[in-house]
Amino acid sequence: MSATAPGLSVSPRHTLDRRRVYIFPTRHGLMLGTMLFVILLGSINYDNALGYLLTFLLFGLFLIGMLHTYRNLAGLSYIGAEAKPVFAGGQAQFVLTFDNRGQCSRYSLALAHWPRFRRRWRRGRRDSVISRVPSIAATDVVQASISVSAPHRGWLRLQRVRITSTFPLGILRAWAYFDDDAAGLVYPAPDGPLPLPARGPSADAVRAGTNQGNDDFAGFRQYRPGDPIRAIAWKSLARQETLLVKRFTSGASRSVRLAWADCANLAGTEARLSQLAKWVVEADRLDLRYGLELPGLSLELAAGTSHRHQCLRALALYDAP
Amino acid sequence: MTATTVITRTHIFWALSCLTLALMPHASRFSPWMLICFGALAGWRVLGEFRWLPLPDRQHIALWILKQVLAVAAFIAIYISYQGQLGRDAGVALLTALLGLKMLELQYERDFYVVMFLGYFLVVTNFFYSQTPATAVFMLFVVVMVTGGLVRFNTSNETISMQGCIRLACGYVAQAIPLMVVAFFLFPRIPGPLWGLPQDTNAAVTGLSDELTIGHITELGVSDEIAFRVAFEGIVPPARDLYWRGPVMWHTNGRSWRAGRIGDGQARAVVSGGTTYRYKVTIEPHNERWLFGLEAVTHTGDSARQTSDYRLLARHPIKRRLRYSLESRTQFALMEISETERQAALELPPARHPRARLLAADWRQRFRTGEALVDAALRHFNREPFSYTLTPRRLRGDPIDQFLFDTREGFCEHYAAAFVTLMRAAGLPARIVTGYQGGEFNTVSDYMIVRQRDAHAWAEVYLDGRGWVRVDPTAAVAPERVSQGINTVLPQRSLLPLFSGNATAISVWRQFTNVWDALNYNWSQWVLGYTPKRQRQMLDEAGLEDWDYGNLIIVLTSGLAAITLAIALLVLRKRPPALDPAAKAYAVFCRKLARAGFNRQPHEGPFDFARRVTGARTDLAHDVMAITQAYTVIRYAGSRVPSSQLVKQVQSFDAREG
Repeated sequence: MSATAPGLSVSPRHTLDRRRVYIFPTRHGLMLGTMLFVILLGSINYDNALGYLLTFLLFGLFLIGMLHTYRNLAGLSYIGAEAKPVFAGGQAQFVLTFDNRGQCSRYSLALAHWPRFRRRWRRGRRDSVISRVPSIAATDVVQASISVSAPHRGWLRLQRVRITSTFPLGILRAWAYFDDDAAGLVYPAPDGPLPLPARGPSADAVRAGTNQGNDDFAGFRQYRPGDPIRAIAWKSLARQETLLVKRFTSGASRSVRLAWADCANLAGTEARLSQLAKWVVEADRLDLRYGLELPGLSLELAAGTSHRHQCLRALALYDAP
Repeated sequence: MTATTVITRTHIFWALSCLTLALMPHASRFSPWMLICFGALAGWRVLGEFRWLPLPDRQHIALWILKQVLAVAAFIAIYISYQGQLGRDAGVALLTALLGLKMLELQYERDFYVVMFLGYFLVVTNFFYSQTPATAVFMLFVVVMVTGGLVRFNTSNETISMQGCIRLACGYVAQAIPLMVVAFFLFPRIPGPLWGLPQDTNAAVTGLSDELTIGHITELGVSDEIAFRVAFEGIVPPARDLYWRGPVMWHTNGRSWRAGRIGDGQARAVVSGGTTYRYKVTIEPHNERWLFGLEAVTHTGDSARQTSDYRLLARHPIKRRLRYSLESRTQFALMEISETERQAALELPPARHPRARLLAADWRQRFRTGEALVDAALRHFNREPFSYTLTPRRLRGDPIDQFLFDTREGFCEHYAAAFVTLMRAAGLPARIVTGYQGGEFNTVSDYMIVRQRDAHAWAEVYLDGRGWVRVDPTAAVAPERVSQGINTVLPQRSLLPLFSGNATAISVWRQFTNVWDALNYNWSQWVLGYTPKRQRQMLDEAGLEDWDYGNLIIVLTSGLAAITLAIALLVLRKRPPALDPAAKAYAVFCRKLARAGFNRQPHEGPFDFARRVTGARTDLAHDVMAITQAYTVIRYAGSRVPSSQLVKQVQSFDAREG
C-alpha cells in the first residue's frame, strides 16, 4: 500500500491575485470590437461628433468591463478539494471549497477540470464537464463540485481546476487556474465471473444485523459503535430512549474470507482486484463478516462501512505505482 | 469552453424592448408600413414565445421559407420606396427590417449578443439626423438599457434582479464616461470624409437664399432657428453696427432680385479705421457657400475668400457646423467700382415701375449730388405715411410701384428693393445687400446669437469720392428695428403672454433660455464643433508643441491608463464589511471608551471589557453595563430587539471624567 495519501495532505490556500487572473475578449467581445471599429470609421467619415462619443463610451465600457470581470475572480481564495471514493469507470465528484470572506460578491463562475497535459490533445475541451456557481455572496464560504472521470483504480489527482467568468458583460472572459494535488480514491471496478467463495466457520454466531431469510431473531442488545445502522431497532427507540440493535442467529455461516489465492485462475492483477472488489461489495451487501487477504496484507474479519472502505482502499492501492 | 447560456423569456423581452427603444426616434421618419411590419414581427416573436404561434425555425419549414421570402421582400420594398438611393434613410430602414427578422430567430447565445450589439448600433443611425444634447442623453439611456440586458444575460439563475442589473449598468456607464471624455478630446482626429457623405445630408434647412423675391424674408422673420453664433474677443460692437453681410443682389426682373456672377471677383482692399473687432463665428449648416461677417471684414482666415462685393465665400457648401475667425472694422469705405459693376448697378428692367421712374426723374432734376438724392429718398420714406410691418398686404401687378404709392407698408426687403430701384432710376449705382442685422447677447457664456429672424436687407449706393455707402431705408421708417433689433418690432412671443407681465417670471424665463442656449452653444463648440482643426488648436493652446499623431496616441493612452487605474483603485479596493446598526453603535461606544483610555483588546469579549472598565471607573458602571447588556442581547440572544434604544444610549454615553 502506498504510504502517502495525498487526499489527506493539507493543500495550500490559493488566493487569486493579479498574476493569476488572465483576461481576454470572448468571441462576442471581438464582435463588439469590430462593430466599434466600423462605428469609428463612420464617425470619421461623416465627422459625426456623437458617433465618436458613442464609440468612446463603448470603448470605455470595454475597459471598465475588464476591471469588473477581473474583480469577479480576483481575491477569491481556494481552500482545497475533497472527493469521495468512486469505482473505476465512474465520475469522481471533487468538492471544492472557496473562501470569499471579506470580499465582494461574485456571480456566474464556471469551474472545469483542466488537466495540465491533456489540453494539448483536445483543443477546446468542449466535452469537459462544467460546473456553474451562480453566485458567491461576500462573507461566504462556498462549496462547488466538479466531476472528473475516474478510469483507473488508485489515486485520482485533481491537478488543476480552471475557474472562468464572463460576468458582467459577456464580452470578456477572465480565468484562473488552481493547482491542487488533492486526490480522490478510485476503487477497482467491481467485476468478475466468480461467485462468492465458500463461507468459513463463524466466530460468533449471534450478530447484529437484519433478517437474512432463515435467520432467527435472538433479541436486542445495547447499540455499540460500529453496528450497522440497518440493525437499529427504530421502533423500540420510539418507545424508550436507548438505542437497541436487533440480533439474529443463523445456522448458516456468516463470514467469508476473500483471498487473492481464490481468484488465482483469473488473468492479470487488475482482473483479480476487480473480482475481489466485487466480492467485497457483495459480502457487504449480504451483511457478511469478511476478511481480505492480499499478498503482503491481511485484513481481519469485520463488517460495516468503514471496513468496506478499508478493504476497497487496500484493493485500490494494491501495488500502486 | 463555457456551456451556452440558455436564452429565457426575460432575455427576449429585454432585447425586444431595447430595440424598440433604440428605434423610437426613427419612428416618425419611417413610412407607416415599416412600423407595421416591425411591430408584426415583434408581435410574432412574443406570441411565439408563449407558444400561441409557431416560430419559423427548422421544425416549421413552411414558416422558415416564409421568413426568407420576407427578408427578400423587405429588401425589394425598401429599394423601391427609397428609389434605389442608398442614403441614410434607406440604410436605417434596411437595418430595421433585418433586425425585425433577426428577432424571429433569437435562439442561441450568439443571436442575443448580435441583437444587443445592434441595439448599440441603432443609436448611431440616429446621429445622422440629430446631434443635440437630448440625443446624447437618449444615447446614454439606450446604452444603459442594453448594458443592463448584457449583465442580466451573464447572471445565471437570475441571482441579480433586473433593477439590480440596471443599477450595475448605470455604474459601468458612469465609470466609462471619463474614459469617453478623454478619448473624445485626445483621439487623433483625421479630417474626413473617408468615402463621401450620404446624398441626403441636411435636406431641408432654412436660411437666406441668393434670390430675393419680395415676401420671402417673412418666412425667416418668424423663425427662431439659429443662423450663427459669434464669440467676440474683447469689445462687442454696438447694436447699430451689427450688419452681418451676406449675399449681394445685383440683378432684378422687377419682382425678384438675384446675386449673379458680377460680384464674384477678387476683393480689393478695404479702407478702414476705428476699433478692430476680432471674433469667431460658428455657423449652422445652410447648404450654401456664403459665410457671414461683420461689415466690413478686414481680415479673413484661410477658411473664407472675400469677393469683390465683399461677401465671404467658403470653399464648399456648408453642410456641417463650421467655425471661422474674422477681423472687422465698422468704419470703412469700399472705394472701387469697375465699369461693368457700374452698369450692373444701374440696370433696371425696361418698361417696369413707371411711377417710380417718374418720381426718380423728378428728384434727379432737383438734386444734383448723390447724397442729396439719398436724403430725398429717405425723407420720402420718413415723411410719407410708410409703415413697418412683417405682415404687409400682398402686392399685385408692379410690386415696387404698388408698394411706393399704394400699400406703403412692408419690411426691410420692400424698403431696400424700392430704394435701390429709385436710386438706379435716378442714375445712382445701387445694390441690395442681404444678411442679418443685430444679434442677441447671451450673458451666461458671453457670445452673441444671430437667429434667422434677424435676417435683414439693406442698400448700398455708390457715391463719387465716398465709394459704396450703406443706406438702410428701413431705419428711416422704423429706426428701432436697427438700433434695438428685430424683437422690438416682432409680435409678442408666444410664451411670454403666459406670464402676463409678471416681471420675475419673465426674467427667470429669460435666464432659463439663456442657460439653455449657453448649453447648446458649448455643446456645439466642444462636442459638435470639435473638428481636427479645433483639436490642433486646442493642443497648441495646451502647450503641446510639435505634436504629431504618434505623440497624441501616447498622450491618449497614458490618459486612458491613468483614468482606468484610478477607477480600478476605486473598484478593487477592499471594503470593510458593512456593520449592522448595533455593531456600529457598539463601535462608537468602544471609540468613546478608547478616548477615555480603555482600549478593547482583541481577545476581550464585551462583558470582559465592561468588567475591566467598571473596575477602574465605578462612575461609569451603570451606563457601561446597560450598553453592554443591550448590545449582547441584540447580538447573541437572537432576539428581535430594535437597536434604536442602544443607539440612543450610546449617543448619550459620556466617558469623560467628572
